Amino acid sequence: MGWQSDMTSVLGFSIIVSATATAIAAAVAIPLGIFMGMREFKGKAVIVNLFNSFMGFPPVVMGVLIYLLLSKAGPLGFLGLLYTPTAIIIAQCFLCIPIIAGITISSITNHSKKIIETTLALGGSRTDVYENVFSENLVPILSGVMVGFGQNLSEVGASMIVGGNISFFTQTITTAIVTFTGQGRAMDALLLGTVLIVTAFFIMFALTILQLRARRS
Amino acid sequence: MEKKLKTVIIIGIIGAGVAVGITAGILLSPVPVLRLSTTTSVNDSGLMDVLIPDFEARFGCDIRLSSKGTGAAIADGSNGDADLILVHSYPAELAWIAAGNGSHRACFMYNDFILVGPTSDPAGVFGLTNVTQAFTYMHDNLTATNPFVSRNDSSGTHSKEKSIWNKAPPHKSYSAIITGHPFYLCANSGMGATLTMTWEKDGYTLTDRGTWYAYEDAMPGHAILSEGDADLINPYSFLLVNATKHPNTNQALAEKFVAFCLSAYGLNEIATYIKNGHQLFTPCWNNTAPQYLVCNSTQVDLDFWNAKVKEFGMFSLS
Repeated sequence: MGWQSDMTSVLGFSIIVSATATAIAAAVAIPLGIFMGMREFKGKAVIVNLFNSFMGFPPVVMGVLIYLLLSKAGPLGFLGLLYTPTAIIIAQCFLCIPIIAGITISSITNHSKKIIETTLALGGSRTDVYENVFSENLVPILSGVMVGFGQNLSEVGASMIVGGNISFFTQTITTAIVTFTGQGRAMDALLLGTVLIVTAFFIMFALTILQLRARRS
Repeated sequence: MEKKLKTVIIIGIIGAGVAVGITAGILLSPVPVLRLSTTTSVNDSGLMDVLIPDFEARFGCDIRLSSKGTGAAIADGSNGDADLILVHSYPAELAWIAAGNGSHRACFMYNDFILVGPTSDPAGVFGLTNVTQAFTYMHDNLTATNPFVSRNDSSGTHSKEKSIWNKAPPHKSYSAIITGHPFYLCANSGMGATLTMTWEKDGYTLTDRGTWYAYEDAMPGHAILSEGDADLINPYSFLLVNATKHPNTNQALAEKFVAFCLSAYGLNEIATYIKNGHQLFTPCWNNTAPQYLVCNSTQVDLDFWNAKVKEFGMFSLS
C-alpha cells in the first residue's frame, strides 16, 4: 500500500520538475530562436549546426558536467544545490534549450521573410513583426517544446547523477524504475514505466490539440 | 548503378554472415560458463578479480560476474538467472533457502560495518563501540546540514542498518525512522554512490569497511566514528541455486568454484588480499568461535562443502 503513495508522489514530482525545466528552457530558447532565425549574420550556419548537434546531447554527460559544477569540490559547491530538485531542473533545462531553440531557428529561417515583408507593407510596427513571426510559427515552436518535454520526462542519466535518486526528495519516475529493477522488483518497474508512458501520452495529446488549434486559427 | 547494387548486396551478405557467425560462436562457446551474481561490496573490493582469473586459468571456464545489491542478487538466484550467488544478509539467506530457491550455504569470510561521518561529529558518536547507542544519538542530533544517508536498496548493508534502527531507542522501529525522521535520506544506490552523497551532504552513513577504504581519500573531513560492535560483523556466504527448479544451472561448476574458495589455498588468498594497505576480509570457514555465531554454517553444510573440497582435489592447490 505504501508503494502506491510512493508512485503518485514520484509521478507528480517527475512532471513538475520536467515541466518547470521545459518552461524555463522555452522562455530562454524561444526568444533566442526567433531572434536568430529572423537575422542573417556571419557564422549563423555554425551556430545553427551547434544547436542541432546539441539536440542529441547525452543526458548522462550533461549530468556529469552539472555534477562537477555543483559538487562540494566544484566551483558552485557553496550553493549546496547538488542532490536537490533544483539541480535536476538545471540539467534538464540545458538539455532542453538546444532542442527548442534549434527547432525554432530552423522553422523561422524558412518562414519569416514573407511575414516580415507583409507586416511592414501593411504598416505594422516592429512589435507587430515579432508577434506575427511568433504566431505564424507557433505550430513548429510547440513541436519543439513537446520534444523537449518528452526528453526531460524520459531521461534518466542526468536526474540520477545530479538528483541522486533520494526517496521523497529527488526520485523521478525513471530513476525509480532503475532502482526497482536493481532491487529485483522488475514487475513494479514495468508498472511504473507503463504509468510514465500513459501519462506522457495524455500530456502530449493535450499539447497536440493545442497545436491543432494554433494551426486552424 | 547495377554494379553498385551488387556490391551493396555482397557487403550486406558478408556482414550478415559475420554477425550470425559471431552470435553462433558466443552461443556455442565450448568453454563452460558459471553465472555468479554477487553484491557490489564484494565486487568493488577487487577480491573477485584475484580469485576468478586464477580459477578460470586452472580449470578452463568462464565466470560471468554480475554485481548488484544483495536483494537483486538473491532475485537472480530465485529466477534462475545465476548458478551461484555470493551475498551478505543472514535473515534473507535463510528465507531464500526456506523458500526452496537453493541450498548449501557456505559462510566463508567476513568483514565489518563501520559508522562514518563528519569529523565535526555534531551527533557525538565518536568513539562509541555500542552502535545501537550511536544510532540513538544520531536520531536525536541529526540536522539538515548533517543528515543520515541510507542506501535503502535492499542490500545487505541496508538490512543491517534496518536491524540496528529496530533496536535503537527511542522508536526501536525502522519504519518510524524512514517515514518520520526529517533528516534521514534514502540514496537508493550502491555503497560507493551513497558514500559520495554522504560526503556531499556532510552526513553520516553505515558502510562496509572495504568500500570505505576505497573512498576515504576522496572524502576529506570524514572519518570512521564508531566501530567494533559485535553486531557489526558482516559475514559473506555462497549459496547454490536450486538445480531442480532451474535445470539450466551449471551446478557442478558452481560447486567447484565454491570448493576452490573454501580450500586452504583459497582461504589464504582471501586472508592475504590487501588493498590500500588494509586487509579487507577475514576467512571464517570451519571457524566455530562463538562471537562469530552468524558466520557459522550448519554442520550439514560444513560436511557437504568439506567433502566437495576433497572431491575436486582442492586441498592440494598451491
